Amino acid sequence: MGKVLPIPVHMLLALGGCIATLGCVAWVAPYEIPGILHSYLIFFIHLPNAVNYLLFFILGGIFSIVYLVKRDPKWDVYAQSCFVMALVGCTAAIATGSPWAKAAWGHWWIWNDPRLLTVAISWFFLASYHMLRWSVPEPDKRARYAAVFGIVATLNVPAVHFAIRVLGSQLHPMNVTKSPEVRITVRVGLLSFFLLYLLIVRLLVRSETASRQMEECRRIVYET
Amino acid sequence: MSTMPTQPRSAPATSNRGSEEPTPIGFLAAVVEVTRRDLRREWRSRETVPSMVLFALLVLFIFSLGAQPDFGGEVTGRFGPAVLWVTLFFAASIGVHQMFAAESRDGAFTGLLAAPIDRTAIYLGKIGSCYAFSGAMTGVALAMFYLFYEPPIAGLPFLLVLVACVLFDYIAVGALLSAMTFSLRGGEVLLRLLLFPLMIPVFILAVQATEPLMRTGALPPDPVVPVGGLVGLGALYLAAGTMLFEKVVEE
Repeated sequence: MGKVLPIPVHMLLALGGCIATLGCVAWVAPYEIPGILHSYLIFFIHLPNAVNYLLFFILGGIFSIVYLVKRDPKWDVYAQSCFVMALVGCTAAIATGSPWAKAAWGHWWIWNDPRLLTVAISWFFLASYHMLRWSVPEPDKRARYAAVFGIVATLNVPAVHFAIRVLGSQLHPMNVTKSPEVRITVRVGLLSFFLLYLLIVRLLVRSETASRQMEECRRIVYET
Repeated sequence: MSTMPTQPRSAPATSNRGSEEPTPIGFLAAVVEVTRRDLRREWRSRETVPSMVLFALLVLFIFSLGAQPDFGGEVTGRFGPAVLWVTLFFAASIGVHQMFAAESRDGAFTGLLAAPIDRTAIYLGKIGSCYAFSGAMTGVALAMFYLFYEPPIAGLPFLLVLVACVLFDYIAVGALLSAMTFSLRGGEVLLRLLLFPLMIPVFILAVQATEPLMRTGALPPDPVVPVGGLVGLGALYLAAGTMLFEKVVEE
């Protein structure tokens, strides 16, 4: 990917995208939407985080499957980096959604909204994944166990979605994206945050690969 | 006079010694044998089921101190399902941990893996034994729950169906995670940190389906949805566990 999109170019694109998103929020999107008021503006940061965390969660699951099949450590590095960004994105989605909930519904957290609960449960899956990685000292075992848990957690996401549907009640506003200006801002935001997430994943992959190479060198030095 | 030394009578027979191959057993027979082994060990040691039962009673008692059951009234309907299922989940986690923690002594786990049986049979056999232990614990916990909360008895048959499905789902995932965590430092806590989030959809379905049983004893509006959902989840977890167990226990 380094030849197709060098990191410096990627950085510029991601930065440009974020500036474009903020610009659209400031000058393109309407100041308020009937029934939701201007607190909805955080939606343009909240939605890209929510969509991208789920995307990278699923990517992490896919890379975990590939690692178990091919046993090449680079797939474990990709999976780990995707799950790190998924956790960051999930936290950002909750952190941006909660103030919006307080402004719009009068409460920081609602217990019977399916999307809120899905995101919260996903956060626990992701936090547990990283707890498991921290707890296993042997690299090969760590990669295997993390891949197994990553696959089970990813398979569980649709199960969560199904189970929560029985709770009923849909408080999340569904009519936000009706106007063209809002749709343009959403699309710019989605693309920009995807570029940003992908950039951070690429940097994490580089960092983790270098870290593992150092660990391997240290092991060789101590054994000889 | 013979100078040849006579062979001592205690000399071992040379015909078959060391050349007998263990008779391979079928997959189903291996599953049954692993389950029987665990049941036999539990019968001798009695280390898992009593702990699970005592812990379930303790959790139930402490929750009930806070909830103050009102004998089939609003508290039973409103809090009863959550109290019941949280109690069962917490107590069953002891049995799930013990599934493989009991093998950690004296190289028993290595011996089990070295046995000439399919490793998936170990996974299924362990599910069988843990299901039996959790079933025994649930019987006692349910009886005490009915004594404390007095929900309508008409809801009991459907509740037993739910319990059977939920325990299977719980143990199918738990077996995989227990094999991962039993040998790690802090593995007991890590098992709960991994297992409980994965069990949230099962918990939601169970609590939602149990609420009408606690209030009036009537079945939920669409009883096929929770039961079908739990059976579907069980099939998903069993399939995932069957495929992934080998990857977890490989050396």
